[in-house]
Amino acid sequence: MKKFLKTLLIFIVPLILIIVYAEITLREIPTTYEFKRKSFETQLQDIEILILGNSQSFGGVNPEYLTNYGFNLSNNSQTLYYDAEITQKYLPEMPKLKCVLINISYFSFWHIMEDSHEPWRKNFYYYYWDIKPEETPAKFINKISNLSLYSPKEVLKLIFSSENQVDFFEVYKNNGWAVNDTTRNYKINKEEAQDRISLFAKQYIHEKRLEQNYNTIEKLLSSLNKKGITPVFFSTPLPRVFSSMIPPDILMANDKILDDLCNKYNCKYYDYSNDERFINADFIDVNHLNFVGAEKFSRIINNEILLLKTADKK
Amino acid sequence: MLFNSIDFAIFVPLVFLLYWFVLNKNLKAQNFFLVFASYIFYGWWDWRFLSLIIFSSLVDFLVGLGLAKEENIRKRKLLLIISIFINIGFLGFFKYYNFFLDSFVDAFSFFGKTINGSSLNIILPVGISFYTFQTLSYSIDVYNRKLEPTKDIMSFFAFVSFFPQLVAGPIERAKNLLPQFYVKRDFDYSKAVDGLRQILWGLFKKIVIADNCATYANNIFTNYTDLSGSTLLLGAIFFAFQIYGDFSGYSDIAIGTSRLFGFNLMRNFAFPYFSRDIAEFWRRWHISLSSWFRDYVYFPLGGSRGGLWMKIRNTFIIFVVSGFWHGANWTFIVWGFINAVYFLPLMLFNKNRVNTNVVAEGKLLPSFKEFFQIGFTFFITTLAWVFFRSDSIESAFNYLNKMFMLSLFSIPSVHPRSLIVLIFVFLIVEWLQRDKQHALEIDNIKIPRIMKWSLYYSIIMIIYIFGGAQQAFIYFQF
Repeated sequence: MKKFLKTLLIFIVPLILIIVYAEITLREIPTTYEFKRKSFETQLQDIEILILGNSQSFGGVNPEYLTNYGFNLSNNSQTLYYDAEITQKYLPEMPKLKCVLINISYFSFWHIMEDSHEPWRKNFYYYYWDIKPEETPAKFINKISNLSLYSPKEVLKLIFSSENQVDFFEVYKNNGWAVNDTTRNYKINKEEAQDRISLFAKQYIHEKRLEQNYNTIEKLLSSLNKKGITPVFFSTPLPRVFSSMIPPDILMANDKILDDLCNKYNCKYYDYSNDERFINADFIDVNHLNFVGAEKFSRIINNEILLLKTADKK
Repeated sequence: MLFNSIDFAIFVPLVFLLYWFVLNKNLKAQNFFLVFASYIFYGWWDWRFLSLIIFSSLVDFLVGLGLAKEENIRKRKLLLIISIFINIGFLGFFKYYNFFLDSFVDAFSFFGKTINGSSLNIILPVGISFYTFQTLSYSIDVYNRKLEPTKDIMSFFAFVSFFPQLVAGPIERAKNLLPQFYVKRDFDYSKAVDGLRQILWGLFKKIVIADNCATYANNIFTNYTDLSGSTLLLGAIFFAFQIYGDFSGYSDIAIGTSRLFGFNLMRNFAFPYFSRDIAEFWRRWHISLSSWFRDYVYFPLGGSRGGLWMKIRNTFIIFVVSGFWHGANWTFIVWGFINAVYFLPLMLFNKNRVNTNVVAEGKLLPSFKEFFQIGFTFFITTLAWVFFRSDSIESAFNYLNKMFMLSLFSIPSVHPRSLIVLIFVFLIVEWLQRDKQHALEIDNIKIPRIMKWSLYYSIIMIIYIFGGAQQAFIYFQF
């Protein structure tokens, strides 16, 4: 028995050392989740406008161009569940919060994180934000181990290559906004749009999620209403080549849901997806604004939504 | 808890240390501890399932005691019937109630009559198909006076609930496993080390082969209407490796874990995909189940005695019932029936016991004839697996129909190179070790320790790299 335990220990030691090395190395790697949480938490007391949503609003709304103090809490592939959970978690700590802008992409009501091609993000929300996954049981290991957050291929890439960030944009602002640089390659054409629509159709469109997401958003709206905070739904601008391919039946279903929610909770929906003020040069790809488009859009939001609301209130 | 989980990786060492270091001196305490640990393992899924296994164990223990005292044939039969009724009753209710109800309703609607049957929302207790058969074998063996009933309740409960084999076998016989609880277990270094190797190989089969094949098999079976015949054939092959890797991997982990505690479980898989005919395949696939049906269904029905028609009837019965055991769906029954049809010609021409040795024994490569035989046997079992995997008989036929179109000769639209390479390497390793109990049994191979350890580290690395696509063990649903 002693020989067995001794041999086993000697065998396991190199594995443990590798695991420890990997954990330490991965802990040093910056992620949007960590950065976002840290910058968000330091500004809670001052935030008046909160922007929620996925990558479209993450790179599409720059709080720098808002009159009021804003923070962009959007993130890549962030779903309505995480929008709602993070907001409700920090609501008591945001005394100055006046308005919450909720980005609605055409697929927002139709999927949850576990449906997407990036379900690993749910582990990051659990690790960094302490938000449990919506459907799959929370694993304790995801709360304590960085190694468990990444796929094995990602781990090897992060440890052995010069790529030492996760989901980090080249320029990242303290207000939560991500800069989509126009000098990067982009293709705004029919083929790209078709590919993106097909991908979303496979991964993001599930009718069974409509009710679930409706309930999620309703809970958020109810919490906001109780605190006298104004919720506003909006959709970011899209290149014509992409918006013309969105299935009409999905848009109709979305309109019905949003009408219902807006009537119930006295809020509005601003749909900029076909806004003619935006041209191809404002986009980095078929469904994301670049930093030029983001400035334009942020100013529009400020003037057409936020200042109007302030005027209404007065 | 799953074998390939952190929970199990923490559970086993804890149990191991307490078992060998704290409780080693007291056999009764050690057995009690095994029961306790096994119930924790089982209750980890759902603590409510514990009442069922405890009740089933108690019934069969008491039936055994009753059979020990009772000499009256009628009363002995009654005791046996009680055991069968309780065990098969539980199994029938939890597993087959909704199936029988739906089939009944469908049969009536076929004749134009509508009846309302309300199906129940029944949760299938994990492992029920396995432990009920295990306890039944005890009652039947005691009734047939092939086994002395035990008066040691703790040993009996440990025999039923022994955690490595509780939820997906091997389905142990009391004759083999129960006596191992009566005697002090001595720690054997080489057995324990080989047990760890077997666990490692089981994890490789499950995590690398089965789970990765499952990703493609699931996708292909779900979208089969849009895919070419060659892709569908590949999908069926992926499923063949998925179910083999999954189930034999689990068995390897179960057997390897048992050896850490000084127990020897029966072998459950003996490299079945190297079989030269279907009879050999069924001697090598899920051995504990097929031998159970042979001993407790086929032989009592008369076996091969009583003429040709009885032989044919009994053969079909055990294959169909064996298929039905796998699940409450007509597809499993059809799968069993197909295997009976495969088996029939061999039986009729007395060729079912021709290939009983290891294929190409002592040689590196099979002969051309053996290669063809292996390929053909694999092909026909793969075709049968389509029924096993499909949701309905209709979709299975549609799948096969689509597979055998001209597009069978086109290049598959799905061809994951790294997985295909892994499967080939896996087959080569299993082929080279086909005369061993498991593919990593390398005690007798004289190579330096550093090389052995490099091999183990490489396997661990491969498991880690290819371990992203976690899937449930298929046989947990049975």
